[in-house]
Amino acid sequence: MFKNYLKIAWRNIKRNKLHSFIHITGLAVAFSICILLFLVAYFHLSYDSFHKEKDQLFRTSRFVNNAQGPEVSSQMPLPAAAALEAEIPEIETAVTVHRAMPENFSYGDINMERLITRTDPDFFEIFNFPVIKGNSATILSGMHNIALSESTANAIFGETDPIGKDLKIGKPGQEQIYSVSAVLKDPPKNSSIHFDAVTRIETLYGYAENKNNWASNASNVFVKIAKNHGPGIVENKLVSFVEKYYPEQLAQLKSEHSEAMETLELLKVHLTNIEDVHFSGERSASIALVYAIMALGAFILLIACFNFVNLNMAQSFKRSRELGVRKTLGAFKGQLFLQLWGEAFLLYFFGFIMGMGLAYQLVPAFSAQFGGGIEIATLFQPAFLVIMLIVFIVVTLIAGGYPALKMANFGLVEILKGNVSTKKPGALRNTLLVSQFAISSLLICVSWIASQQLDFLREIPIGFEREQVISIPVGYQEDGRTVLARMRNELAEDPNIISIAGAGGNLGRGRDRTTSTSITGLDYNQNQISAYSLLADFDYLKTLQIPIIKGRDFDPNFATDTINAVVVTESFAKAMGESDPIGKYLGGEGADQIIGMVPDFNAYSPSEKELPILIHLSNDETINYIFLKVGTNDPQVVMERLESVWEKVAPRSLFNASFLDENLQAWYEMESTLTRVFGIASAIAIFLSCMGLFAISMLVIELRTKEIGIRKVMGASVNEIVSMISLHFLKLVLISLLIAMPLAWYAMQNWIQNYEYRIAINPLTFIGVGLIVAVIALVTVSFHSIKAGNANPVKSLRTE
Amino acid sequence: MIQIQNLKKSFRTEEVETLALNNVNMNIASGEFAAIMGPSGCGKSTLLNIIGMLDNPTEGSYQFAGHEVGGLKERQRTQLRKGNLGFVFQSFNLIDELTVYENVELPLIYLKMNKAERREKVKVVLERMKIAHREKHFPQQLSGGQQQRVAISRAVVTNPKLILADEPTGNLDSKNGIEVMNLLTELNQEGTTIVMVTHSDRDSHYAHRVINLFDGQIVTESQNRAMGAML
Ligand SMILES: Nc1ncnc2c1ncn2[C@@H]1O[C@H](COP(=O)(O)OP(=O)(O)OP(=O)(O)O)[C@@H](O)[C@H]1O
Ligand SMILES: [Mg+2]
Repeated sequence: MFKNYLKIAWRNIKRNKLHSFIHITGLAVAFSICILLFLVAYFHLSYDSFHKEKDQLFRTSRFVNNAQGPEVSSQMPLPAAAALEAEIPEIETAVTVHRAMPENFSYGDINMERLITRTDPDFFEIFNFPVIKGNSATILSGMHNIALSESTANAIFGETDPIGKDLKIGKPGQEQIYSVSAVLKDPPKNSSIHFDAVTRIETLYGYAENKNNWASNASNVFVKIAKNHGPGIVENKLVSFVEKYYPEQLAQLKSEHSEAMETLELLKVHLTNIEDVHFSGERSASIALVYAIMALGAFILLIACFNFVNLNMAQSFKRSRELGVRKTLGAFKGQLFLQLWGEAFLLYFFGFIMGMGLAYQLVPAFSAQFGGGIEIATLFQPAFLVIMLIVFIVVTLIAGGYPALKMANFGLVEILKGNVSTKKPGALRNTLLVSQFAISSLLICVSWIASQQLDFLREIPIGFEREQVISIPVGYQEDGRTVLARMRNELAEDPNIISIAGAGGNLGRGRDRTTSTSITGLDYNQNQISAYSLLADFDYLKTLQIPIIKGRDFDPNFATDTINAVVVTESFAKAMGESDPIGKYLGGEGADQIIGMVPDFNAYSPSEKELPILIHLSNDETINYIFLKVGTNDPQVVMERLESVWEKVAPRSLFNASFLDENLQAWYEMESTLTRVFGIASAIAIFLSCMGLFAISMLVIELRTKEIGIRKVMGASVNEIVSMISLHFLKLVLISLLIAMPLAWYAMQNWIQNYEYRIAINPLTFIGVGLIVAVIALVTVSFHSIKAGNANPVKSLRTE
Repeated sequence: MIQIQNLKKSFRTEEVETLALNNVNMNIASGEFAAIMGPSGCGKSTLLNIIGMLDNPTEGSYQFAGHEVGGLKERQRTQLRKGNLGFVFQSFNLIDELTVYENVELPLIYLKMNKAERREKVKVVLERMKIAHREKHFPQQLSGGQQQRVAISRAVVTNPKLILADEPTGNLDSKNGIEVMNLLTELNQEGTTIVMVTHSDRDSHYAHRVINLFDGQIVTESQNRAMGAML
């Protein structure tokens, strides 16, 4: 029986080719985009969910209510893990995890840079990183044991069994020997903890000095709480823990705050469930972005479904006469219903299958856009399939079932007279059209304003030269100071290179994909100043074109400059409480003397300019980046020259040079992803809406053929007919704009509040979007309206 | 008013070419009431549409009030037609979504007449056609005879010089049919030229002259006694 309906449905689909084509492509495009957006969202939401005991796993972080403002950090001191385990019985296990750092691995002739994570042996007890080779109980039992990820083991050892082999890790001359104890499956892409190799925390540089130092925060601590205990109990106990282990800092904080505050308000250690880690903390993804992506997917699906319902209904009502005849021939309501539903079902099914196919094709490209980790296999999950099935049934029921029921309930006479076609479905049709265009206009406004804000952020003066400065990561295979010296030597005569400097950290994020910051606490006149410490070399300020406003720059003629001279930012001087800090000594580490002051600059983020920064030279610390200020000549030529020089001065290290303005794009990664995704989504939304409008306008004009003919006989010109039809749709578009614009304004007004530097939303943007949408809609309608206007009225009245 | 010479009209549909009108010659004077008769498919409606400038002839000359219409562009034809011509159809051709009032008002809107003037004219003509009490109704709510009266109102509201009626009584019973014919006669007596296509002998008697069409050609023309008497 049902097969019979499907057969009739199939015939109808073939008969109405254009209609079916619009249906199926619209659905396929929408589904594929929806699926891809869903996969992106799912990827982020599924972070760290593969740990079996994830409900019991938490990361600790510190909240410190500094005089300069509250600060939250997940960096903990080295002794914290052991103390937590000892003090709080609900904490079964606590492990220190020192973030993956790139280092040089060498084995025989093989040298490669790999990420190494340092931790406690219990790491493998609380986290699920499956062991492929080796004894899982004793992976980190030896001080210099190391576990390699599968891909790293393959890269280094190939076919040979790596277990028990010795690896040299570290800079040339400072290598340490590690013995491979296990091979682990590569950590999943959706893991917050990632590594190419895992070894003991004790091998960390400076471990011995800092293992009992509560003031140096550099690692994460993860705890496993006993079953049946919530994080609440532990957090309560953490209050007395803080009082016991941070007495000095607490006293300091108390003295800085004039009003009396409880411990909790001053210094707090709190817990973040491992599944939320991805969205919290300094380097986190934005949950808002993930929700925005999901909302986009939903919007696009909604538009496609509206299209589907609309077109299908219009089409069905157009066939009301045929169906009326069927009814007079004795078809039952149920049969009519099944027939229309069957058609909707088939169309939707084709659209769905094609959408899946399209999504499958697009996954690699999409995955690359979002930094990987997206897999189509995620789709075949019960929850997702159920949601899809529900949407499937609801949409086909509305699209096919509603007109069927409507017509089944109409009197036969009315159907045969063709009276059903105009009034009622018109209201629903218009509502759906208006909603589609409202959503599309909203998305267009949002992406446009977001891109304006992004452009604005990119143009903010950041206090240093970014366009003509090249940064080169030294890499972990070479010594920075040696490379820098060779480079200066090699390029001394080059007219295109204006100056060269070295630094400990990069500005923004370069091709080596790493960033680092280091914060130190300093005492000055009983004041604790917490400042960013920036290791530089001579010519750093000159290379970055940062002017000196007081005092002087570092100078090789002063022997002490590499020992205890520092240059500070204006904000640093402010934190000291000095208007002229030159010559002042900063207590603590070897009594640094301030020799110069520079204006504030955005060293670490576009939003924070007023940062206390301490720039110092030192012969002990490593230089990891080389900066070059180049002349105005062709940058490509300069790059090629540098590359050939690099091969000479740093033969073991890859040439990963980039201009600073490229590096700074990392600051706007969230915004540019948002803008890109919204841009694509709004293009698709308006495209789908126009596809709907295209078909609807065709149907509406068909329904109004006779009327148009009469009007022409009555003296209407082609223009009058075209503008009458255009106006009809333009009105709908205007209504949708009126709905969309206040929403867009409100949403974006809220969004830009997140930024210290923000644009004023320009009303012209809305006028522009309105014009664009109206023109697109008019052009879409004009395909049919111009034809209708030019049609010979004699014909349209004849075929009536 | 109407001068037609060697007029031909052919339709091409895919491979077939139909010659709907073949060498038609006729003149219709101002103030005349002419009926066109002939078997189905002989080209009556086609001729009427050309006279009504809804369609262009394929060959030959058609002069309306001294203007050659034959080669005019659609826009020019619309311009010439507006206000000068009124149409009455067998199936009334009222717009279902518009009220009686709005239907009648339509040609005035396309003449760009202002609202007050329109109101005035529509009122007068609806009164005259005895349909004013139904001005807020929609066509579907009226009987066939009432609908045709609305259609005639719409045709005359611009005071056209020429009214073209294609089987105006075809969908009406005889009582309503006679009523419509009386209305047309009345209009003609007031000076409006009328060209009417009909199948009905009864209706043809209202005309001054009957033109018989067969297979796209005029076969006979006869003066009615009524006309003769008037002369
Ligand atoms: N648009 C058209 N396309 C093709 N052929 C047409 C077209 N209009 C009319 N014809 C043909 O021209 C011929 C004359 O048609 P017309 O409508 O003028 O006949 P008629 O005399 O009005 O007939 P009836 O009395 O049935 O209304 C017919 O053969 C018809 O098939
Ligand atoms: Mg006819």
